[in-house]
Amino acid sequence: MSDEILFYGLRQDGRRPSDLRHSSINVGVIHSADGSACFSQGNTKVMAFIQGPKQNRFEKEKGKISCFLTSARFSTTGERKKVIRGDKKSSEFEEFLKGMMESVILFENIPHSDIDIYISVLQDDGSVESAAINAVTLALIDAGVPMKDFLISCSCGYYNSTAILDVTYTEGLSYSVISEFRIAVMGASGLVAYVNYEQFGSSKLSLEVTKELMALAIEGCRQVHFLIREFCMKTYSY
Amino acid sequence: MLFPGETIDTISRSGTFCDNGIWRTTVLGYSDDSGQFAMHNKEQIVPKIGSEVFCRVFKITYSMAQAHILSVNNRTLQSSFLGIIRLQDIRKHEVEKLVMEECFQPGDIVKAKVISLGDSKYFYLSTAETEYGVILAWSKDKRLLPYNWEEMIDSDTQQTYKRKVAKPLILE
Repeated sequence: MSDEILFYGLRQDGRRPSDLRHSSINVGVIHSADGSACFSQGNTKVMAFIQGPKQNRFEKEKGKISCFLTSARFSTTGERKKVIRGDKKSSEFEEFLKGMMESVILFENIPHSDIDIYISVLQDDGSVESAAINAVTLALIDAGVPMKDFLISCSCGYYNSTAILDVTYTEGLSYSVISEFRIAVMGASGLVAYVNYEQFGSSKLSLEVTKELMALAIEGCRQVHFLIREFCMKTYSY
Repeated sequence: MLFPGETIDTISRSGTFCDNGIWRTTVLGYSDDSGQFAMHNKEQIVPKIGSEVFCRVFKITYSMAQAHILSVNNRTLQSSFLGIIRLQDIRKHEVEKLVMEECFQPGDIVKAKVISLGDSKYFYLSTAETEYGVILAWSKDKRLLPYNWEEMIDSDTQQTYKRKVAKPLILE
Protein backbone atom coordinates (compact mmCIF):
# COMPACT_ATOMS: atom_id res chain seq x y z
CA MET A 1 0.00 0.00 0.00
CA SER A 2 1.23 3.41 -0.84
CA ASP A 3 2.30 5.71 1.96
CA GLU A 4 0.01 8.42 0.65
CA ILE A 5 -2.90 9.36 2.82
CA LEU A 6 -4.79 11.64 0.51
CA PHE A 7 -5.41 10.93 -3.17
CA TYR A 8 -7.20 13.75 -4.95
CA GLY A 9 -8.80 14.86 -1.70
CA LEU A 10 -9.97 11.40 -0.67
CA ARG A 11 -8.49 9.12 1.96
CA GLN A 12 -7.50 5.47 1.75
CA ASP A 13 -10.94 4.25 2.70
CA GLY A 14 -12.70 6.73 0.43
CA ARG A 15 -13.68 9.26 3.05
CA ARG A 16 -13.36 12.98 2.67
CA PRO A 17 -11.03 14.69 5.19
CA SER A 18 -13.91 15.77 7.44
CA ASP A 19 -15.86 12.49 7.41
CA LEU A 20 -16.31 10.16 10.36
CA ARG A 21 -16.22 6.42 9.98
CA HIS A 22 -19.44 4.53 10.29
CA SER A 23 -20.15 3.91 13.95
CA SER A 24 -22.49 1.55 15.71
CA ILE A 25 -23.58 1.50 19.32
CA ASN A 26 -24.93 -1.17 21.63
CA VAL A 27 -25.87 -0.87 25.27
CA GLY A 28 -26.58 -3.50 27.90
CA VAL A 29 -24.11 -5.93 26.35
CA ILE A 30 -23.06 -7.39 29.71
CA HIS A 31 -25.90 -8.44 31.96
CA SER A 32 -23.91 -8.85 35.15
CA ALA A 33 -22.64 -5.26 35.01
CA ASP A 34 -24.66 -2.27 36.21
CA GLY A 35 -24.14 -0.54 32.90
CA SER A 36 -22.38 -1.52 29.74
CA ALA A 37 -21.92 -0.29 26.20
CA CYS A 38 -20.12 -1.25 23.05
CA PHE A 39 -18.98 1.52 20.72
CA SER A 40 -17.48 0.75 17.35
CA GLN A 41 -16.18 3.21 14.82
CA GLY A 42 -15.07 1.64 11.58
CA ASN A 43 -12.90 -1.27 12.63
CA THR A 44 -12.22 0.12 16.09
CA LYS A 45 -14.36 -1.59 18.68
CA VAL A 46 -14.35 -0.77 22.37
CA MET A 47 -16.48 -2.22 25.13
CA ALA A 48 -16.97 -0.50 28.47
CA PHE A 49 -18.81 -1.59 31.57
CA ILE A 50 -19.52 -0.07 34.96
CA GLN A 51 -19.64 -1.73 38.35
CA GLY A 52 -21.32 0.46 40.91
CA PRO A 53 -22.14 2.71 42.61
CA LYS A 54 -21.10 0.24 45.27
CA GLN A 55 -19.97 0.70 48.84
CA ASN A 56 -16.44 2.06 49.06
CA ARG A 57 -13.77 0.19 50.92
CA PHE A 58 -11.92 3.24 52.20
CA GLU A 59 -12.82 5.57 55.01
CA LYS A 60 -13.95 8.40 52.82
CA GLU A 61 -17.16 10.30 52.41
CA LYS A 62 -16.43 10.97 48.74
CA GLY A 63 -16.35 8.01 46.41
CA LYS A 64 -13.54 6.98 44.14
CA ILE A 65 -13.32 6.07 40.49
CA SER A 66 -11.13 3.25 39.27
CA CYS A 67 -10.40 2.76 35.58
CA PHE A 68 -9.08 -0.42 34.04
CA LEU A 69 -8.16 -0.40 30.37
CA THR A 70 -7.35 -3.74 28.80
CA SER A 71 -6.62 -4.51 25.18
CA ALA A 72 -7.42 -7.91 23.78
CA ARG A 73 -4.38 -9.79 22.48
CA PHE A 74 -6.01 -10.08 19.08
CA SER A 75 -6.97 -6.40 18.91
CA THR A 76 -4.02 -5.12 16.89
CA THR A 77 -3.29 -5.57 13.21
CA GLY A 78 -0.11 -7.55 12.58
CA GLU A 79 1.40 -9.41 15.47
CA ARG A 80 -0.42 -10.24 18.66
CA LYS A 81 -0.21 -7.83 21.56
CA LYS A 82 2.22 -8.93 24.26
CA VAL A 83 1.25 -6.49 27.00
CA ILE A 84 -2.49 -6.25 27.44
CA ARG A 85 -2.66 -4.00 30.50
CA GLY A 86 -0.58 -1.51 32.41
CA ASP A 87 1.73 -0.20 29.71
CA LYS A 88 2.65 3.47 29.74
CA LYS A 89 0.12 4.64 27.19
CA SER A 90 -2.87 2.92 28.74
CA SER A 91 -1.89 3.88 32.30
CA GLU A 92 -1.71 7.51 31.21
CA PHE A 93 -5.10 7.28 29.59
CA GLU A 94 -6.59 5.62 32.68
CA GLU A 95 -5.41 8.58 34.75
CA PHE A 96 -6.85 11.08 32.26
CA LEU A 97 -10.16 9.25 32.15
CA LYS A 98 -10.34 9.10 35.93
CA GLY A 99 -9.84 12.87 36.14
CA MET A 100 -12.43 13.54 33.47
CA MET A 101 -15.03 11.32 35.07
CA GLU A 102 -14.39 12.80 38.51
CA SER A 103 -15.21 16.23 37.10
CA VAL A 104 -18.43 14.95 35.56
CA ILE A 105 -19.94 12.51 38.07
CA LEU A 106 -21.94 13.99 40.94
CA PHE A 107 -20.55 12.27 44.01
CA GLU A 108 -22.76 14.28 46.38
CA ASN A 109 -25.74 12.28 45.18
CA ILE A 110 -24.08 8.93 45.83
CA PRO A 111 -22.10 9.26 49.09
CA HIS A 112 -19.76 6.48 50.20
CA SER A 113 -19.93 4.82 46.81
CA ASP A 114 -17.23 3.79 44.38
CA ILE A 115 -17.48 3.35 40.65
CA ASP A 116 -15.31 0.94 38.70
CA ILE A 117 -14.92 1.49 34.97
CA TYR A 118 -13.68 -1.40 32.90
CA ILE A 119 -12.75 -0.83 29.27
CA SER A 120 -11.72 -3.54 26.88
CA VAL A 121 -10.40 -2.75 23.43
CA LEU A 122 -11.62 -5.51 21.14
CA GLN A 123 -10.32 -4.13 17.86
CA ASP A 124 -7.71 -1.41 17.49
CA ASP A 125 -7.87 0.59 14.28
CA GLY A 126 -6.93 4.04 15.53
CA SER A 127 -8.82 6.53 17.75
CA VAL A 128 -9.14 3.96 20.52
CA GLU A 129 -9.11 6.54 23.31
CA SER A 130 -11.92 8.55 21.73
CA ALA A 131 -14.01 5.44 21.24
CA ALA A 132 -13.31 4.45 24.86
CA ILE A 133 -14.55 7.80 26.18
CA ASN A 134 -17.74 7.49 24.13
CA ALA A 135 -18.27 3.93 25.31
CA VAL A 136 -17.76 4.90 28.96
CA THR A 137 -20.25 7.77 28.59
CA LEU A 138 -22.84 5.40 27.16
CA ALA A 139 -22.19 2.85 29.89
CA LEU A 140 -22.59 5.54 32.59
CA ILE A 141 -25.87 6.65 31.02
CA ASP A 142 -26.97 3.02 30.89
CA ALA A 143 -26.04 2.52 34.56
CA GLY A 144 -27.90 5.69 35.55
CA VAL A 145 -24.98 7.26 37.39
CA PRO A 146 -25.80 10.91 38.20
CA MET A 147 -23.69 13.19 36.01
CA LYS A 148 -23.40 16.93 35.58
CA ASP A 149 -22.80 16.53 31.88
CA PHE A 150 -21.64 13.85 29.53
CA LEU A 151 -18.47 13.53 27.52
CA ILE A 152 -18.14 13.07 23.80
CA SER A 153 -14.79 12.51 22.18
CA CYS A 154 -13.33 12.63 18.72
CA SER A 155 -9.86 12.54 17.21
CA CYS A 156 -8.25 14.18 14.21
CA GLY A 157 -4.90 14.29 12.48
CA TYR A 158 -2.92 16.68 10.33
CA TYR A 159 -1.40 15.58 7.07
CA ASN A 160 0.17 17.68 4.33
CA SER A 161 -1.48 20.88 5.60
CA THR A 162 -4.90 19.19 5.67
CA ALA A 163 -6.75 18.38 8.85
CA ILE A 164 -8.34 14.92 8.75
CA LEU A 165 -11.05 13.71 11.08
CA ASP A 166 -11.15 10.32 12.83
CA VAL A 167 -7.72 8.88 12.00
CA THR A 168 -7.31 5.18 11.38
CA TYR A 169 -4.36 3.02 12.41
CA THR A 170 -2.53 3.31 9.08
CA GLU A 171 -3.09 7.06 8.95
CA GLY A 172 -1.70 7.33 12.44
CA LEU A 173 1.41 5.38 11.47
CA SER A 174 2.43 7.71 8.65
CA TYR A 175 4.98 10.32 9.58
CA SER A 176 2.72 13.29 9.55
CA VAL A 177 3.10 16.20 11.93
CA ILE A 178 0.30 15.08 14.21
CA SER A 179 -0.82 11.51 14.31
CA GLU A 180 -3.72 11.78 16.70
CA PHE A 181 -5.18 14.91 18.21
CA ARG A 182 -7.88 13.91 20.67
CA ILE A 183 -10.38 16.10 22.43
CA ALA A 184 -13.35 15.44 24.65
CA VAL A 185 -16.16 17.95 24.97
CA MET A 186 -19.14 18.05 27.28
CA GLY A 187 -22.34 17.33 25.41
CA ALA A 188 -24.70 19.82 26.99
CA SER A 189 -22.45 22.76 27.88
CA GLY A 190 -19.98 22.40 25.01
CA LEU A 191 -16.94 22.87 27.24
CA VAL A 192 -13.70 21.17 26.26
CA ALA A 193 -12.70 18.68 28.94
CA TYR A 194 -9.61 17.06 27.49
CA VAL A 195 -7.03 17.81 24.80
CA ASN A 196 -4.14 15.49 24.03
CA TYR A 197 -2.01 14.76 21.01
CA GLU A 198 0.86 12.65 19.82
CA GLN A 199 3.51 13.98 17.51
CA PHE A 200 6.44 12.55 15.64
CA GLY A 201 9.87 14.17 15.54
CA SER A 202 10.65 17.60 16.87
CA SER A 203 8.19 19.55 14.75
CA LYS A 204 5.96 21.75 16.83
CA LEU A 205 2.27 22.39 16.55
CA SER A 206 1.62 25.98 15.54
CA LEU A 207 -1.26 28.01 16.93
CA GLU A 208 -3.06 28.22 13.60
CA VAL A 209 -2.92 24.47 13.14
CA THR A 210 -4.15 23.91 16.71
CA LYS A 211 -7.10 26.18 16.05
CA GLU A 212 -7.90 24.35 12.84
CA LEU A 213 -7.65 20.95 14.51
CA MET A 214 -9.76 22.05 17.47
CA ALA A 215 -12.48 23.39 15.19
CA LEU A 216 -12.54 20.17 13.18
CA ALA A 217 -12.50 17.94 16.25
CA ILE A 218 -15.34 19.88 17.90
CA GLU A 219 -17.31 19.51 14.67
CA GLY A 220 -16.59 15.77 14.81
CA CYS A 221 -17.74 15.63 18.43
CA ARG A 222 -20.97 17.31 17.36
CA GLN A 223 -21.52 14.55 14.84
CA VAL A 224 -20.81 11.85 17.44
CA HIS A 225 -23.15 13.62 19.86
CA PHE A 226 -25.86 13.54 17.21
CA LEU A 227 -25.28 9.81 16.67
CA ILE A 228 -25.46 9.03 20.41
CA ARG A 229 -28.59 11.16 20.72
CA GLU A 230 -30.27 9.39 17.86
CA PHE A 231 -29.33 6.04 19.33
CA CYS A 232 -30.67 6.89 22.79
CA MET A 233 -33.91 8.24 21.30
CA LYS A 234 -34.37 4.94 19.51
CA THR A 235 -33.31 2.65 22.36
CA TYR A 236 -34.76 4.32 25.44
CA SER A 237 -38.15 5.08 23.91
CA TYR A 238 -41.20 5.52 26.07
CA MET B 1 -35.75 12.86 25.82
CA LEU B 2 -33.39 14.70 28.17
CA PHE B 3 -29.70 13.96 28.48
CA PRO B 4 -27.51 14.57 31.55
CA GLY B 5 -26.64 18.23 31.92
CA GLU B 6 -29.66 19.73 30.19
CA THR B 7 -31.60 22.58 31.74
CA ILE B 8 -35.15 22.05 32.97
CA ASP B 9 -37.79 24.58 33.96
CA THR B 10 -39.57 22.81 36.80
CA ILE B 11 -37.90 21.59 39.97
CA SER B 12 -38.23 17.85 40.26
CA ARG B 13 -37.69 15.48 43.14
CA SER B 14 -34.88 13.33 41.85
CA GLY B 15 -32.42 13.15 39.01
CA THR B 16 -31.65 16.86 39.06
CA PHE B 17 -29.14 19.23 40.61
CA CYS B 18 -28.80 23.00 40.96
CA ASP B 19 -25.87 24.62 39.16
CA ASN B 20 -25.61 28.34 40.03
CA GLY B 21 -29.37 28.68 40.21
CA ILE B 22 -30.04 26.70 37.05
CA TRP B 23 -31.65 23.30 37.44
CA ARG B 24 -30.05 20.60 35.34
CA THR B 25 -30.66 16.90 34.85
CA THR B 26 -28.16 14.30 36.03
CA VAL B 27 -29.40 11.13 34.33
CA LEU B 28 -31.18 10.14 31.17
CA GLY B 29 -34.88 10.83 31.34
CA TYR B 30 -37.79 12.68 29.87
CA SER B 31 -40.26 15.34 30.93
CA ASP B 32 -43.65 13.86 31.63
CA ASP B 33 -47.09 15.35 31.03
CA SER B 34 -46.91 17.73 34.01
CA GLY B 35 -43.49 19.03 33.00
CA GLN B 36 -41.74 17.13 35.79
CA PHE B 37 -38.51 15.31 35.10
CA ALA B 38 -38.87 11.54 35.10
CA MET B 39 -35.86 9.29 35.07
CA HIS B 40 -35.47 6.53 32.57
CA ASN B 41 -33.45 4.18 34.74
CA LYS B 42 -34.42 3.47 38.24
CA GLU B 43 -32.57 5.64 40.71
CA GLN B 44 -29.35 4.33 42.17
CA ILE B 45 -30.31 3.12 45.60
CA VAL B 46 -27.90 4.06 48.38
CA PRO B 47 -28.77 4.29 52.08
CA LYS B 48 -29.05 7.87 53.29
CA ILE B 49 -29.58 9.36 56.73
CA GLY B 50 -33.18 8.71 57.74
CA SER B 51 -33.71 5.87 55.26
CA GLU B 52 -35.71 2.91 56.49
CA VAL B 53 -33.77 -0.30 55.85
CA PHE B 54 -34.25 -4.01 56.20
CA CYS B 55 -31.14 -5.90 57.19
CA ARG B 56 -30.05 -9.38 58.16
CA VAL B 57 -27.91 -9.68 61.30
CA PHE B 58 -24.89 -11.87 60.71
CA LYS B 59 -22.74 -11.30 63.77
CA ILE B 60 -23.33 -10.06 67.29
CA THR B 61 -20.78 -8.89 69.81
CA TYR B 62 -21.07 -7.48 73.33
CA SER B 63 -21.50 -3.92 72.11
CA MET B 64 -22.92 -4.13 68.62
CA ALA B 65 -24.65 -6.22 65.97
CA GLN B 66 -23.39 -6.32 62.41
CA ALA B 67 -25.85 -6.67 59.58
CA HIS B 68 -26.14 -6.77 55.81
CA ILE B 69 -28.48 -4.08 54.53
CA LEU B 70 -30.79 -5.78 52.04
CA SER B 71 -33.25 -3.08 51.05
CA VAL B 72 -33.62 0.67 51.39
CA ASN B 73 -37.05 2.33 51.56
CA ASN B 74 -38.74 -0.89 50.36
CA ARG B 75 -36.45 -1.16 47.33
CA THR B 76 -34.16 -4.14 47.02
CA LEU B 77 -30.45 -3.53 46.69
CA GLN B 78 -28.32 -5.16 44.03
CA SER B 79 -25.43 -5.68 46.45
CA SER B 80 -25.73 -5.49 50.20
CA PHE B 81 -24.15 -2.78 52.35
CA LEU B 82 -22.76 -3.32 55.82
CA GLY B 83 -24.46 -1.81 58.83
CA ILE B 84 -23.94 -1.70 62.57
CA ILE B 85 -26.51 -1.48 65.35
CA ARG B 86 -24.76 -0.30 68.49
CA LEU B 87 -26.05 -1.30 71.92
CA GLN B 88 -27.00 2.30 72.80
CA ASP B 89 -29.03 2.64 69.59
CA ILE B 90 -31.31 -0.34 70.22
CA ARG B 91 -33.82 1.58 72.34
CA LYS B 92 -34.10 4.96 74.00
CA HIS B 93 -34.66 4.03 77.65
CA GLU B 94 -32.76 1.78 80.08
CA VAL B 95 -29.90 1.31 77.68
CA GLU B 96 -27.60 0.17 80.50
CA LYS B 97 -29.81 -2.87 81.17
CA LEU B 98 -29.60 -4.10 77.58
CA VAL B 99 -27.86 -7.34 76.67
CA MET B 100 -27.13 -7.86 73.01
CA GLU B 101 -28.11 -11.55 72.98
CA GLU B 102 -31.55 -10.64 74.29
CA CYS B 103 -32.13 -8.21 71.40
CA PHE B 104 -30.80 -9.79 68.23
CA GLN B 105 -29.54 -13.14 67.05
CA PRO B 106 -27.65 -13.91 63.85
CA GLY B 107 -30.10 -14.58 61.02
CA ASP B 108 -32.80 -12.19 62.23
CA ILE B 109 -34.33 -9.78 59.76
CA VAL B 110 -34.40 -6.34 61.34
CA LYS B 111 -36.16 -3.17 60.31
CA ALA B 112 -34.03 -0.17 61.24
CA LYS B 113 -33.31 3.45 60.41
CA VAL B 114 -29.99 4.88 59.18
CA ILE B 115 -28.74 7.42 61.71
CA SER B 116 -25.25 8.05 60.38
CA LEU B 117 -23.24 7.24 57.30
CA GLY B 118 -20.47 6.27 59.69
CA ASP B 119 -16.80 7.10 59.74
CA SER B 120 -15.64 3.80 58.28
CA LYS B 121 -17.15 1.06 56.20
CA TYR B 122 -20.34 0.66 58.21
CA PHE B 123 -23.65 2.48 58.13
CA TYR B 124 -24.91 3.16 61.64
CA LEU B 125 -28.43 1.92 62.20
CA SER B 126 -30.90 2.52 65.00
CA THR B 127 -33.95 0.62 66.25
CA ALA B 128 -34.93 3.19 68.90
CA GLU B 129 -38.58 3.44 67.81
CA THR B 130 -41.52 1.12 68.39
CA GLU B 131 -41.86 0.26 64.71
CA TYR B 132 -38.20 -0.74 64.39
CA GLY B 133 -36.69 -4.01 65.54
CA VAL B 134 -36.81 -7.70 64.67
CA ILE B 135 -39.57 -8.52 62.19
CA LEU B 136 -38.58 -12.04 61.22
CA ALA B 137 -36.80 -14.56 63.43
CA TRP B 138 -36.37 -18.29 63.37
CA SER B 139 -35.68 -20.99 65.89
CA LYS B 140 -34.63 -24.31 64.35
CA ASP B 141 -36.23 -23.34 61.00
CA LYS B 142 -39.47 -22.48 62.79
CA ARG B 143 -40.78 -18.96 62.28
CA LEU B 144 -41.26 -17.09 65.53
CA LEU B 145 -44.23 -14.83 66.04
CA PRO B 146 -44.18 -11.53 67.92
CA TYR B 147 -45.50 -12.00 71.44
CA ASN B 148 -44.80 -8.72 73.15
CA TRP B 149 -42.38 -5.86 72.61
CA GLU B 150 -39.41 -7.82 73.92
CA GLU B 151 -40.35 -11.44 73.30
CA MET B 152 -41.13 -13.68 70.36
CA ILE B 153 -42.95 -17.00 70.62
CA ASP B 154 -42.77 -20.38 68.97
CA SER B 155 -46.41 -21.26 68.31
CA ASP B 156 -45.86 -25.03 68.68
CA THR B 157 -43.88 -25.23 71.91
CA GLN B 158 -45.09 -21.94 73.44
CA GLN B 159 -41.46 -21.18 74.24
CA THR B 160 -40.55 -17.51 74.19
CA TYR B 161 -37.32 -15.99 72.92
CA LYS B 162 -36.01 -12.58 73.83
CA ARG B 163 -35.78 -10.08 71.00
CA LYS B 164 -36.18 -6.34 70.41
CA VAL B 165 -39.45 -6.82 68.55
CA ALA B 166 -40.79 -4.37 66.01
CA LYS B 167 -44.42 -3.32 66.25
CA PRO B 168 -46.19 -5.75 63.91
CA LEU B 169 -47.84 -4.45 60.77
CA ILE B 170 -51.55 -5.11 61.02
CA LEU B 171 -52.93 -5.77 57.57
CA GLU B 172 -56.60 -5.19 57.02
